Amino acid sequence: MANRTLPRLLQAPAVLMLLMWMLVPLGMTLFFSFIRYVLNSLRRPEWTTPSIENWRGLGNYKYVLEAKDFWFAIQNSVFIVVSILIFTVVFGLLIAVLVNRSFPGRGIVRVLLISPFFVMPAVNAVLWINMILDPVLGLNGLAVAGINDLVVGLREFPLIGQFFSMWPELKPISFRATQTSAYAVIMMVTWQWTPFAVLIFMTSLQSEDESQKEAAMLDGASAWSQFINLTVPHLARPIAIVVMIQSIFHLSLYAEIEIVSRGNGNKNLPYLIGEFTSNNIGAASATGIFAVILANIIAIFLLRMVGKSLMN
Amino acid sequence: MKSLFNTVAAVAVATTGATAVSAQDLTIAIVNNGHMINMQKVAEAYTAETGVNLNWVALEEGVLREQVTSDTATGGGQYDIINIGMQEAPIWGAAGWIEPLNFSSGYDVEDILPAMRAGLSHNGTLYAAPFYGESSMVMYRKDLADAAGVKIRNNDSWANVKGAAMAMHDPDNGVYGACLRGKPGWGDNGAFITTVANSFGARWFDENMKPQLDSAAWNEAVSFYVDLLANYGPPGSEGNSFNEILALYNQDKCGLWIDATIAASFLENPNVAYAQSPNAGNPVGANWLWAWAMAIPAGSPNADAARDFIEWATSKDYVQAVGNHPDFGWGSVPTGQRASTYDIPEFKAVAGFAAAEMAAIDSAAPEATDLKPYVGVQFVAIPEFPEIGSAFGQEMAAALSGAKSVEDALAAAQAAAVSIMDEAGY
Amino acid sequence: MAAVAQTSPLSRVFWPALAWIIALIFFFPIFWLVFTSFKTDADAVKPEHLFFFTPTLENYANMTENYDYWRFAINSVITATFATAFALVVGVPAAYAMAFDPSRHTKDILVWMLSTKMLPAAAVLYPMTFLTKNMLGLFDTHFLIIVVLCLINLPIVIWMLFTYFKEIPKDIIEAGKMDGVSTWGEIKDILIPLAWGGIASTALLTFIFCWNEAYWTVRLTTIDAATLSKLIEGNRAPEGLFFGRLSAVSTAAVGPIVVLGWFCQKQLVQGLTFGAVK
Repeated sequence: MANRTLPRLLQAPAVLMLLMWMLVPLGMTLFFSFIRYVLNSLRRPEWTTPSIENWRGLGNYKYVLEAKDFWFAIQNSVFIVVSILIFTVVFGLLIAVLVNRSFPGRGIVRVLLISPFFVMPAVNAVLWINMILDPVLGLNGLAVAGINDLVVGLREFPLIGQFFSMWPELKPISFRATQTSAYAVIMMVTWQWTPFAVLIFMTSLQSEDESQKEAAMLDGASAWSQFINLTVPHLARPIAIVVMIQSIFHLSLYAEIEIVSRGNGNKNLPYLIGEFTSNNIGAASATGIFAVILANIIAIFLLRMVGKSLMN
Repeated sequence: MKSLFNTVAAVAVATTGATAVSAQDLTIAIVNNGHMINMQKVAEAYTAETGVNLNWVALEEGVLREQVTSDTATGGGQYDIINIGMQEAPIWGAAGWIEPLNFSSGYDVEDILPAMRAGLSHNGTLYAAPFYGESSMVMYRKDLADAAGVKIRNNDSWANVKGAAMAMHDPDNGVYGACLRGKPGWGDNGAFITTVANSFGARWFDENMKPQLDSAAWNEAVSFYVDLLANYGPPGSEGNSFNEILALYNQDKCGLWIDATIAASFLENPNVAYAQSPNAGNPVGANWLWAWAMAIPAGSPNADAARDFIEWATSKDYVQAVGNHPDFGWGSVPTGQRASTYDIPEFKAVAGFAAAEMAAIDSAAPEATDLKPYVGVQFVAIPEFPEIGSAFGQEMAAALSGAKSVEDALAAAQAAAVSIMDEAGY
Repeated sequence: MAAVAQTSPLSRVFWPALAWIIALIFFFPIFWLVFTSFKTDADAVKPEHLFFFTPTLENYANMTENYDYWRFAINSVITATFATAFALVVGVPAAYAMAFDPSRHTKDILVWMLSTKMLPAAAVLYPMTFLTKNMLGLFDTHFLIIVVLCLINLPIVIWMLFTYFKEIPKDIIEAGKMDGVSTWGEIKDILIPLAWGGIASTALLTFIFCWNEAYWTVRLTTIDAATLSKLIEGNRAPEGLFFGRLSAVSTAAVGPIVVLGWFCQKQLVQGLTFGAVK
């Protein structure tokens, strides 16, 4: 017990590597965030070298706080992450329960269900926004056009024609607009990560106490009340874990936002950093520091939730 | 205090330079547009002839700019040749990021179209050679226009163009009057809207480089654009740029399309007619000018071999090589770079758009004028522009989809531009 | 037994049918991607060829001939495999020490490790480019990509392993200690066989994350160490409409990992607990 050398030694490589990985780039980012540093400037060429002489104090932070979309990015980031979490947990729970019972072809169903999780984010975004959601040439547009044609055709018929002539003409939704682009991202990420939730919930369901369930069933409890009273409490911890792991990944969404709408109506801090990075490294670094702070606030909050039961 | 970057960069250049003697490899960063894809094939002959091995790194436009910028700003060395546009060439040249191009005597610099040369130079020195170039013009369905009884003339008024779009607009049969760029991005909707604004007499900056997006001319221009595209355009226009509209046009879903002249070589419907860009009184800047050009980053250890390759790829011989290549032919030659290309009879025979394209490029005016004190037609050649333009593009897309009024969108774009310019020390 | 007998015929048909429908909906986009990859670029955007077209292998031929698909694929395999192995080599001893010999800081260390995963990559792009290219000279090497992928995934690896190891009764490990087995022996002969399922699923998940990583693998490589995510970036063009081509490249990039996932599905289902099972 007294000898702590060995466990420390075993942890050392991992801790040191992560420490370097965090501190070195973060240290440079921190430095850049306090100086004037742009990649290229026709007016102030002296700013293009990252030198202490360009010290600016909190100037970059002040600029970023007042910059267009900073607060929107934070707010929107929380909105998309929370929405994705809600959808993946709800769909994940329902699907996991559904495929937990045995039925013909369950193996294939599971294979099909988990496949989206293996798709690269950029492929996911291009596939959804162009081939599926495009309002004219994507399946979205083609389906709406098909329904409209069908309705027009049905208007020719006696009796039911009367009914269909009252139908409005459907308009396809454009998913790249300011008003909808966040929903497109939520949709495609939910598609990709619901399988992750399903996997974890399925694993947990397999350990659920069947005898308890059978007892409940004999007592005449409905399937729904079993689900709410037995299954959901049993899954509380896996839900917490799904929420934690996904939050870590979704706070740094990038490719999806870029491909869907180039930040129109939908942004997060990493994307804002990317916009600054086209020239203003000082501002990008300050935004990066804000993003680190935000991430850590969320991390502490999330890990509290999961961490409590971790050590016992 | 001496710059950390420059010192280390110099060391890096010195060490890699020493080992470069035997290197016959060139690493070339490109965007994967059709002409560049063809080049990878045509250049097999170059490798066979010279023994220079070519490594192509194809990247998405934004990622390419990001990676090339981060490489160049940290001293270069990863790429021997980079694919850049007109926005970057003059300012990267001014910053010393790319090498001035001094070609051998056999290379006909004078043959490069004057507008292209002007746009790719800084203080009279050429920093990038155009691989292919483009302006913008109107492409429209002759059959639909005739059926609707409308005409689109060269340098027509915007009012007439709107009338033509209205007349051809038939959404019940899947035909939309006007297909125009709406996707956010300074090179996407930003490029098109700026040409419209120019033609209304608007400008990005005044002579003191103060942003002018709150002017009446901008409001008029953007209101016109939103009105035209929202009413007579396809649904989802806020997501459309060159590729998306090309697909729509080839599906016969567009009455007229105003976009890059290069589009003409991809159009499938034979009932096409061309017209020079419309304007609202000011023809200067109503059509844009762009080139996909090749440059050599400072710090490339293979600068000489790189220059030789650029000489070849942007030469008259290259045009011949594509034209005579069994896989491609005269319909696929890169255009918009050299005057001599437009004299080739085989090319003229297959390219119905040649005269219109040449006229558009010739009339494009990238130089600074009294009205606009900056270089660039549909962009401004300053390092801060991509950031301003991307904020502008997002606001314009918001105005187009009705999320914001034109006034609010322009006010937000103006505020962003003012804050970015103040920050940059203007 | 009683429970089974109670299920009505309706629910015997309805629930499996619903599961099948949902599974097909979830799989449909992937099917569509593969389907589109057999269309020419021109057909891919034509509604009249939505379902009926002449299938072509042109896109795949083009991909292997002109883009050197195999070089990118081999790089993906190399970097993902070694990064996963490296992460396990570093992660297993650390998780072992945390699980069986915890101190009062163990929880904080774990929490801190996970928080490093939240560092926004875009914020450190310039420092990273500068460091790896100008100071370390590692830019565009397999080694760099392996280290970066390993570091990105290490927190998740340690977290997962830690939660598995905690399930193992401490007595078994203690018994080993009594018999005078070395620490290495404990890990090799007792821990790894006992936690094999957990280690395998950790490795699988890490491999998947490495394969799909697309920020650093694109930005810290030029050509030598470029992976499939970079091949995909190269097929999105500003002036070129290449959905057929892009679909083929995407299918070929995503295909191997999806198939791997299918084969290891059972393993994943059993192993992905993150300590969630009590």
